[in-house]
Amino acid sequence: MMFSNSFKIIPILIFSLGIFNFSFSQEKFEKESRIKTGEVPENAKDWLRGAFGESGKSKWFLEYSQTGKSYEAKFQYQGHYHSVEFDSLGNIQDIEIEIMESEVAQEVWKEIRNYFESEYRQVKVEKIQRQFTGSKSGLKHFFKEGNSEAVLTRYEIVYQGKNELWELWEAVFDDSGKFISKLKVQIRPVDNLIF
Amino acid sequence: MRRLIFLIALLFIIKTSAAQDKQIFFTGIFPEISLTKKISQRNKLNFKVENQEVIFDNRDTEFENPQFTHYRTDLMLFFDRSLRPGVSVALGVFHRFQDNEDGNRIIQQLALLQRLRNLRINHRFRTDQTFTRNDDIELRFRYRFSVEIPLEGDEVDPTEFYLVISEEPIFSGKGGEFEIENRTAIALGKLFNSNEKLEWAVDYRTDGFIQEGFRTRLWAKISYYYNF
Repeated sequence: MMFSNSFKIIPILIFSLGIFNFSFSQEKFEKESRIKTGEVPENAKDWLRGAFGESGKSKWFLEYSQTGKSYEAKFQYQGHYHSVEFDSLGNIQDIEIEIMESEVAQEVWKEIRNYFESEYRQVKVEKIQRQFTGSKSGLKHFFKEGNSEAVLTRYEIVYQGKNELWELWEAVFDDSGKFISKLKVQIRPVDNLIF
Repeated sequence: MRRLIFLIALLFIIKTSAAQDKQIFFTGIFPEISLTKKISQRNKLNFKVENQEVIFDNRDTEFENPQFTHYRTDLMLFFDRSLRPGVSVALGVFHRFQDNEDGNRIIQQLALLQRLRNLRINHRFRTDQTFTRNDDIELRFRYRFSVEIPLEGDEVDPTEFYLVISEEPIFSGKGGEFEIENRTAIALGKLFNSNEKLEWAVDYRTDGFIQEGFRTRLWAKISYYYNF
């Protein structure tokens, strides 16, 4: 029991940690929280209903970031996971739809694959999203009638790429599969799960 | 809602413990601190201190309870190497301070993380060898399944709360005798920023399934994690 007394101080110290506010570092601020449908601007709900009908049972989220406040609807529609983003006034910003590799046009995928082969020794694709941006009416016509003239399509791909070591990336490609930009993705520390 | 889930889980655990009367049961507090230092793009060092203090022990008389008795303090150091995003292996050394049972352990670990749309699921596989003076070596294999659930939105963002539910069976052999231990925990966590988090947990442990002496331990756990 020679350590007993000194150890008694440890739990007291640690249990008191909860009363402090931790702020050792400054970082990018982004906060997303679930909200009720009633808190969403009417024009955002109207747009969603007009484009996807009543079948899109969506979960709504409010997101705050450095760029401001936005609303996001997330839902399954025709077997695909959709995220639709609106600005703080409820105006449509963009739509992202998760798709499979086989759903990307062959010539587009060939172009994307060429990029991967030129940049990495090995690649494992984790997620593909088709991203649509455009005017309110342009996007609505696209989803109702398939008219893609006024809509800009891009592909956002999350993948693991290996050269010296494996890294996680998020890259954007245009509608023909040409590389536009990429960002390295950091996985939030998992020390609470692995140690 | 969060409080309700936590309360129901706590009541369930206490009720189950009470039903195991005449078996060993003790409960107490279990603070821990985990510090993780990134030493290169692939490698990390983790240092962890765990301390267990008994508040109630059903082997003691009613005059001795409640109490505040040191049960054990563990110091751990891990070297962790990332194989690819979400996959890592680690080697660890461990020292335990426990009344007449101080021990040393070496640990080998494989951790696999699944990042789903709104959940993070981790599979942790460990083997370890424990050396205690005047006792046989204990060999163990453990598998921990843990799931992290955001409570505000699809992802855990700074200042937000989350839940972690984990289940871990542990198979051990010592002096030719086989034993099983089970650990179930439910934790409410708060991510302060991308480097710091705090978790409040109820950790329920049972062992003595095969050998004599079924035992349950219930810990009120608080864990602080810091990455730098």
